Amino acid sequence: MIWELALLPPVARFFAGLFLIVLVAGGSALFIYWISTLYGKEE
Amino acid sequence: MPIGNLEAPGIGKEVVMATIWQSHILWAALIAGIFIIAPVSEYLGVLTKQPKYDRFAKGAGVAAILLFATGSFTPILGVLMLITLYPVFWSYAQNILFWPLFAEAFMFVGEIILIYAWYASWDTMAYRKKLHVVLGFMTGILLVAQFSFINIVGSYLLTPSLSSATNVGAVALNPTFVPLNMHRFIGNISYAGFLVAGYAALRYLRSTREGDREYYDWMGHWGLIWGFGFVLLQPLIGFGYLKSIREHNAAAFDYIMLGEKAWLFELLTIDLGIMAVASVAYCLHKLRFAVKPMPAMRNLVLGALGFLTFFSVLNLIPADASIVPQIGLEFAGGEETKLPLGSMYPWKYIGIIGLMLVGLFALALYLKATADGFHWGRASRWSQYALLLTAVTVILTMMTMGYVRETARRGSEPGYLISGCITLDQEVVGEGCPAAPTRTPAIGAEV
Repeated sequence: MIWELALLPPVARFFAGLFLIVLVAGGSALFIYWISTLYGKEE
Repeated sequence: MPIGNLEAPGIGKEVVMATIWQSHILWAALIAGIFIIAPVSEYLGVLTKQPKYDRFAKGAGVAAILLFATGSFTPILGVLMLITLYPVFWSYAQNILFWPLFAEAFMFVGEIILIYAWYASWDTMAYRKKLHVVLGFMTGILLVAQFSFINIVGSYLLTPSLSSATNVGAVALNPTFVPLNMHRFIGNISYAGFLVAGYAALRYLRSTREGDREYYDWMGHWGLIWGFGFVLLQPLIGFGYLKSIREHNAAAFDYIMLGEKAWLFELLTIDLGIMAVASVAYCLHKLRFAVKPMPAMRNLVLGALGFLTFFSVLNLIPADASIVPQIGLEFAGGEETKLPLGSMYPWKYIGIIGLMLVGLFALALYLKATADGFHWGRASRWSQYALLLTAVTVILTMMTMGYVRETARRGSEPGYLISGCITLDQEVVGEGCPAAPTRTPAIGAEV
């Protein structure tokens, strides 16, 4: 399959996964932190 | 029309799954854990009349609401990706695991109602505090039920029931469900505790007002008690879990404990060692600020820290010179060279049991000092860095352990989505699948 040809080597995929997890989980942590700083503030 | 076997270009669909579910569990476990800690804190606030407990519980309620949105977005995306990338597997899984997944949906609805109700009724139920505490505990129980149902799914994939797939009871109580559930229950509380400690440390380091410094200093201590206290139970329960994996899926056990993925447990021992040493170092520092000075006790905790470091180092020694074969991290002949003190029996047992016992000893002394109180707001920066270190390490531990459980299904060739039943390429295998339907004998026929 053409998809399989386009796949990165297993070790590269492992680190790509690690990077993506840190990006998604870390990004949402930063978003939550940002939005919590607005908590309780009047407009 | 056959269903296409889609791949995500470059990274592959397995990385898509890992990214979504690992991101999800990091939030979901925090919510599940915090809803044990927060209602207990609120109740302690009622009992002790100390406002810090209520402040903490309310803050946890706000955090849970903010976390819940992110925590619930990822599994919705995950189910969408399962249907798209693993249609054959998911249709079987949905069919076999219909009841747990159905119950899961209702738990989700219940949580949405109760998490928001708990927070929204904080002020309106200020004079009916005990009822409000009950509401918090109900939310916690609902979250326990929710992760129990999803643990049925997780454990079933690794050890399908030994009965027909239509036997709902056998599917739910598959061989590794109970130990996994215990492991997750304790793990969630510990994980949330360490994250609370890490968050408190960040806020403490940034606080300038005396009141805030006192509060966040206490909050770091409060999180650490939960985090460290519960993590000490994990090796014992984890051992029980691994034992049930060995009994019911020997190939998976060999793959993660002795085979090419054994380095994941090296990583785990590093994580466990860092968390234990950093926690006891924090306790040792805190004892300097005990209201009632306890020099003898401090010396005992110092001794415990020394033993803990020794046991952690003992746990770190690999069994052979092949550490991470996937990236070529091998030396002196690799797998053929056995290292002294590296074998599981007796060295790792000594290391793990020693770590638990010494940790419990240090924690017991620390809790005794806690009973007389501390001078809050005076903690050093380094003690807060120790808390931050435990928080970062516990995240890495969660990621490592999640990877271990999922990669274990590669243990037997050619790698399975449901062990022995559906391969990674979504080929359904009947022979050897413990849950495959057997021929029903006709009435009166000889069996």
